[in-house]
Amino acid sequence: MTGRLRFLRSSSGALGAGIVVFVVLVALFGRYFAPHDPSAPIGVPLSDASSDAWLGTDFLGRDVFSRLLYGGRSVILIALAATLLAYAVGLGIGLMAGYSRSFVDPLLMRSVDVLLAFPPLLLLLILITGAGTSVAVLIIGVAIIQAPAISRIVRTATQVEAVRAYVEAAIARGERPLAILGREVMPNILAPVLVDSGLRFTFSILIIASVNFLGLGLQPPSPDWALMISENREYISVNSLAVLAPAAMIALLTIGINLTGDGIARSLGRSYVPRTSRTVIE
Amino acid sequence: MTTVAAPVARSREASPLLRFAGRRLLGAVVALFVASLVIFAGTQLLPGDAASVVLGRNGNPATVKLLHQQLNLDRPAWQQYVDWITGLLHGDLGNSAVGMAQGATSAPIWPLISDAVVNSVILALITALLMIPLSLGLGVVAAVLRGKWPDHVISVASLAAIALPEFVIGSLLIGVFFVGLDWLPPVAIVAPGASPLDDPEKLVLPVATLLLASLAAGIRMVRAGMIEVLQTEYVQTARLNGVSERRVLWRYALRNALPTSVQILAQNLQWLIGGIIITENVFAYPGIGSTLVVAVQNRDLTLVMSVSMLIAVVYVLLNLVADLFVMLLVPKLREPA
Amino acid sequence: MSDQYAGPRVSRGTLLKGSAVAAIGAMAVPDLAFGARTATPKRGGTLRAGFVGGGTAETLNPFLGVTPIDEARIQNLYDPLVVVNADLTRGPGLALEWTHNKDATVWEVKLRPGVTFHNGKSFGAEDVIWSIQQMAGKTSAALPFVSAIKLGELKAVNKLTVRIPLKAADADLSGNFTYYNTWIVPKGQTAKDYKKPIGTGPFMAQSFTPGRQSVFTKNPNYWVSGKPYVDSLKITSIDDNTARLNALLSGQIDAMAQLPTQQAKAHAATKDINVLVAPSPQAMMFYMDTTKAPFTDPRVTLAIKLIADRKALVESAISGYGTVGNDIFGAGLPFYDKSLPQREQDIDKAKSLLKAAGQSDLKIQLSTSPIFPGFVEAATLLAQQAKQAGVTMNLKQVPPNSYYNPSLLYLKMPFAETQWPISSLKFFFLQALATDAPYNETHWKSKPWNDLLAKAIAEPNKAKAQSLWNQVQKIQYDTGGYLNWTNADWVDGLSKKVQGLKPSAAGVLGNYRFLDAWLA
Repeated sequence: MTGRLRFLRSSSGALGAGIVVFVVLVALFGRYFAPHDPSAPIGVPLSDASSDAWLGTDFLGRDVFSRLLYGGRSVILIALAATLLAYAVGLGIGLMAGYSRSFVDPLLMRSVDVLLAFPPLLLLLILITGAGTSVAVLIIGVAIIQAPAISRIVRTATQVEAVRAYVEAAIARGERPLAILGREVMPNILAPVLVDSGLRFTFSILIIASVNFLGLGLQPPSPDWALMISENREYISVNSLAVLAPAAMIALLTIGINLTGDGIARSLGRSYVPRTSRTVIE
Repeated sequence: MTTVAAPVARSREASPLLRFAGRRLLGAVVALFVASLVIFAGTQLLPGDAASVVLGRNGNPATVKLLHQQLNLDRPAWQQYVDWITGLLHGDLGNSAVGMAQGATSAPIWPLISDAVVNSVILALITALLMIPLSLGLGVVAAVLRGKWPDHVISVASLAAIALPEFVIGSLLIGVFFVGLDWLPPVAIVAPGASPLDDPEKLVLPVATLLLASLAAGIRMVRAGMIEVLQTEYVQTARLNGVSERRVLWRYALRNALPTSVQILAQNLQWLIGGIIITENVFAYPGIGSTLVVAVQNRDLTLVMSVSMLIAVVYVLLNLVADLFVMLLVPKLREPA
Repeated sequence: MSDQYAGPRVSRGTLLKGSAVAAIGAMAVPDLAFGARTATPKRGGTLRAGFVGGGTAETLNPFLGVTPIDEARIQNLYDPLVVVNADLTRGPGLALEWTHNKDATVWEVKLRPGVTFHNGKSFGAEDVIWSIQQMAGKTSAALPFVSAIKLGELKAVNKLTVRIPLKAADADLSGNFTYYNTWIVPKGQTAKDYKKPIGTGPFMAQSFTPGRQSVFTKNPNYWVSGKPYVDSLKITSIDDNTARLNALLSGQIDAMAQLPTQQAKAHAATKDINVLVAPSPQAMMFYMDTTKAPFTDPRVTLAIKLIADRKALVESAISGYGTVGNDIFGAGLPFYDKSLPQREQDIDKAKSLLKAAGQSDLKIQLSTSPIFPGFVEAATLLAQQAKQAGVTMNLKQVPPNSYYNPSLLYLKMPFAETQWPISSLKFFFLQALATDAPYNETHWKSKPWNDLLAKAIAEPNKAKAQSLWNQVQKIQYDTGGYLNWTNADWVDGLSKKVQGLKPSAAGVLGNYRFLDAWLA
């Protein structure tokens, strides 16, 4: 097995990867197998599983199974966009702060600290109440919440690399800082950053689900796993599958990513120490 | 949340700890000042205001303007900021914008929220106090029995818990323990002035929800830290020297777990302050989280600002204390791997 | 949410001398109080009700309170001059008789004797005059109802008689005083006194923590003898719908207003709680701003009205708890035009109308909000139905506080939903469709139509009035911006031990008449 795919050797890595692939396939291609139109009511709202509706109907009488097959794309794409944006910002800030030995480092980090001093959900609440409930605002809001922690990790990893010999050599060669950061440092910090990225992505999904709970997130009538959970939560006692099925898909994705991350970390020779936790979700 | 402090100059022996503390304190003050600006600016950007909320559907623009004048809301923003900040520095959280819009001569914020703050603190403390022994215990067990079935069970279970949104965990717990078994109450309503501890069974499900939602991270942190320590040369040498496994665990490994638990405690207390919002809503628990959500909806800006500052202060203090503790425990000033 | 309505024309009886008595426009409400008639009411206990809270915005000030939880408290602390019964007829409250001079510009109101406030002070004309002056405050929610009164000339003829001179004739002044923001406070009570206010109502304020809970104790000297039965009334704010229902199911509260209809259906079947259902004139409507494209073209508004499958909306959005609505308002009330046919879904006609208007691939935004049960569901379903006619409706879900806030979104959304408890054609048309109406959601402005409306309201001859009203309504039916898909029932949840609360067309939880309730 090539070095890159070594993580698949561990059982958890393989299992994790398999789960992730399954969920992504369902999200991307599930819709071609849906028995019903996900937006059309097909029966009495909140009815139990039947031969026509394998998972029953939701609060408007739409087929839960069909909505499940359609509902992965938007939540995964939005969470992906938010996470990527967070990384773009976090990498930028973290690299600069970690490489600099001047006042820039504490200045950047203190500003980032300020953002970490806010309960993330409160931040989102104010932001969305102020700027409206569009997808763009949601992506930016989630990115703002995730960026500070990312920049911390990147900064620490950068600091470690910045004192290494190869960087000194590059400085001696006369290379400019931006080039050093891009060509020398970044590839070497990618490993811990990558391991963390999986978790980040799942946190983005969970933040979005929590914001939906407060009524400020995604808009009906889109079939979307996170939205399905909060739309039908009130009626969990009437048809629990309408909530549990999308929650299970999100949970599978999270578990799969975590296991894959474990596998990767193990293959890199270190035990995986998550620097983050739900600290930055709510 | 620890930071790497600048390496201590060996020549100067005089209290590096104090210098570190001083620097961090200064940093904290600056951070809080910037936070106050951000909070003020952020809330000012909210469209609408308390006056229009109080007037409801009857609030036509002319009437709202009238109320604004009565409330001194037509002063320039910088003046409102200065008044607010000076008030805070004197320990005065200000008047609730909604209360004033309703015509009261004064509507001090602290009495309005003190009850809710205490309720949330109680909930958070109970959760945190249970969190430490649980994550330490389960983490150590998972580390020591690494690869065997208890490790797998703990890992999978905590993974599953962290994979679900908090309100889903809460709804599931209610579904099992109230709807299914009728063992525990599904809501945790506390009368104003009463203590949540008067009826502790109400707190079981909210605490369980918070624990399940956050335990996984602590467990994994302890487990990883323990595994690493158990693999160090230090411990190997002790083992080779015939020190019993139990003593190895207690003396070397566990002691190194202390800074980790301080980190866990600080991180989780910070998370709890914010994460409590959803759990309070699900269980109708009258804490500061739900107070804040409603205050934003009501555009009670002074309440939102003052409580947000309160939270920011607590966050920053917790960081500071945790960092100092870790510095005390780990003389090497090295950031844990 | 504020209920802007008054009762229909006054019923026969002792209420009016020398004026035309209109036909009763009563709604047939089944007298389905649980366990009411045969059992003897038991005294004592605490009735606990749960509502969506308003945080620090909750108030006991009757001239400011606008949300259901405020209304629940206000209706139990204070009394009205005129009571609205369960079938929307009116009865005497603190006012027993209303008489007016020949041209209805000066009224005299005789008040109920022997009523005392919670602090023992006796109630009289001075208190009514003070209350009316408070109602006329610039920030008062009752201002529209007293704007025609000459405040400076209010006079206490004697201790129990008030003279009310008007700026313009009004043949039905008593109807203005049925709305809960017009209820009576003692002389001298101002906005600063509402932490522990005084009223004449069946319950007295004991404690109030806004956003949390209020505790009221029973008024032992209430003018309805023998009531209330319970010793105290506890009203708790519980924002989350599921938590509120769970509180009811676990016995932590006894009554919950506005039970989500899907839950009502499920629990009506399991019978673990009682579901109180009251047919009501609560019209749920979609509205279009007739001054904004594409709704300036009446072909488009008519097409939208033809898209709705109203029966499906009632079945799915509110689980059948309501009647199918027609695009005119106030079914069953006096002057309602019964001859206009019930509008049905007609996709083909809708398509051809849109084609003729050049809008075959119409894309519009529909703003909705979870502020009323059924709103978001109905919007989602209508959008789905609209696809069949080639219309794309993009939903925008807005937080409840912004939806009815004139500083934010109210009256600025081109296509949205609204709810009107309509129990008088006159009041609805004046509030929503007249040229200077305060809540003109469809931005309807038509001088000829407005003149027609004024004539209809002023016409004393019933047959002539009916024909004028028919013309008024037909124009709205054909070219107006309202799509009225249902008159929804009030649906509430009660624990099995609550007895005595009667379903009332006038409001939820028996129109908050907790004085009738007792605990088994």
